[in-house]
Amino acid sequence: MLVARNWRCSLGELDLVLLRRGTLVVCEVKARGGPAFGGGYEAVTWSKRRKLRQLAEAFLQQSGSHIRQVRFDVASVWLGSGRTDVEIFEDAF
Amino acid sequence: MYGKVTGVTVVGVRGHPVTVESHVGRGLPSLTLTGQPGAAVQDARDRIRPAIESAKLEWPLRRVVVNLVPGNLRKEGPGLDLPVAMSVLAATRQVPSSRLRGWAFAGELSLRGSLVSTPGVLSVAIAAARQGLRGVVVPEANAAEAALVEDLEVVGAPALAEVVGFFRGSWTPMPIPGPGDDPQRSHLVDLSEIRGQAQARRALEVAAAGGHNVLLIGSPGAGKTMLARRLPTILPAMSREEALEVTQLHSVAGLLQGELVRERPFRSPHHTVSPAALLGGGSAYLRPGEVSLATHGVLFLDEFTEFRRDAIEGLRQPLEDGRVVVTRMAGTAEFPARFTLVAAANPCPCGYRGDASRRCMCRDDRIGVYTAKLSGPLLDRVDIRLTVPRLTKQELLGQEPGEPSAAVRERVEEARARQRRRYVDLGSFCNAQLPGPVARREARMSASAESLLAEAVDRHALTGRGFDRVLKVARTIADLAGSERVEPDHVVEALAYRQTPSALELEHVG
Repeated sequence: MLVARNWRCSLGELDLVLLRRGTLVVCEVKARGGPAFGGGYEAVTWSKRRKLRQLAEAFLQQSGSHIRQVRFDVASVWLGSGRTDVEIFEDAF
Repeated sequence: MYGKVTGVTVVGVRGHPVTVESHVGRGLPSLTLTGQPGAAVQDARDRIRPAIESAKLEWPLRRVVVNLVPGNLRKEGPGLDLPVAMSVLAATRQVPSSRLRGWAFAGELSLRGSLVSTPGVLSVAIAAARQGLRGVVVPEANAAEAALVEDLEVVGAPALAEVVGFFRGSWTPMPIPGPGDDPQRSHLVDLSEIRGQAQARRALEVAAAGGHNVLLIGSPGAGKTMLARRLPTILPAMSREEALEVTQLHSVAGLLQGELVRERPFRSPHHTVSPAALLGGGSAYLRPGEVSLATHGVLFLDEFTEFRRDAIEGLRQPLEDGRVVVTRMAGTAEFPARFTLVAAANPCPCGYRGDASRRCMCRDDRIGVYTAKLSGPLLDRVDIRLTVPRLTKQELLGQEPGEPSAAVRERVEEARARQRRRYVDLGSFCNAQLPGPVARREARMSASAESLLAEAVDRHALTGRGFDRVLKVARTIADLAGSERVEPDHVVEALAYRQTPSALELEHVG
């Protein structure tokens, strides 16, 4: 169940927020036009992970919900000509 | 997904089995190593993915955790590359796990996936055999050394792809040629090359026959180095156990070329050598030192007086016990270190004291300081002290070639066999290794020899230790002569090996 898309606050932005069997799933979407700079997942650095955790906290606070579990996924998107491939790393970090 | 294989880490010279287990789970692609990996093992993290991809295998784009069991042992050396890679391949079902059981893996991987020659493979193989494993998989370059271990299958593979092929049944290793049964030893040097120096040659023979340590004193160019270098050529051939021990030490140090070391080692570290290099050590990876690399051979210390004091002091334990214990932050390791010491020094700082053709320019006080360095507790362990004179022109030009090493070695081997028979209950010692009281009991002196030695005690003011040394050397000379008892002649010769140009100054240490 999609909860939010491109949710913003003063700290930054969450790409996708979903709810799945009581777990809040925060999904970061990273797209790459080609393999030259590695896969999208490789762009999720330590500082980016920290930011995502802060954002998730802010999101929970604002929504006032009582969700106990949070999971972080990374969706790595290849933008090819004519077709796109999506690779999803569940529980990425 | 889970997989596990057996690897071996080498601590000192001993191999310890390590279970390398892998878990491939959810998460962003990463590789984590746990279980006290040392620096070289930590390096493997970045080597293994390229190696696996180069071998046309697949690296899982998931979170990989590799754990090294037991966790209380620090793992060192690059030899764990291969087991880590195989463990990940087993976890991702790229090799059949069931077939990996009973095998130990060792070898460093290159980025192209080839297996690079790795130090310590002999220790790995010995550990695998002790563990009752069926076989080892090692780099092709180390296969011959692993094959020295009996009752163990050895697979020498050129690269990771072949190792995987072997367990999938698509690749068969080349049979390893057995160790060539070649007792013929090919030394590059021979005793026959030494001109003149009859006394020194004889002293070397005695030293070889009884396992005695030697101090050579002589002017520059007298031939001290030349003599020392030829001592290994007259020592008896090594037994298989001795050869294996030497091979293992050289393997761990990464000095091994090919297979079994058959020649007795000759090590001559420079006098600037650090204690760690001489005795063994290193910060992370405990390496055998020169004393251990000289095991069952000769350790030659040229310019003995110039060596660092702390390095020389450290020689006491190996000379006493035939082993060194190295303790570092990384742990404690014991290395064998049973060698014959040959120390060489000039007779004085300028080097020409007592020389026939050049005058010594040294002041008396400096000679005193210098000769004091030639005494001390360490040289108490040196049974044979000898002056090596420089040859005159006539001697240099006009000498027939001396007796070849092989002939001398025959006599030495006979004398050693005699000692082994006599000391069979003491655990096969040579004369030099006997403790003083045992030496006195076992000497079997004739009455006249005994009274001669008693006289010498008074005349030369022999101390207890000095007495024991003369006794042991005399015993060796008797063994060389094939004599059951020590006769006066033998004692006279033994007394001659206490002389140095600074005999007067040395007298006080006996």
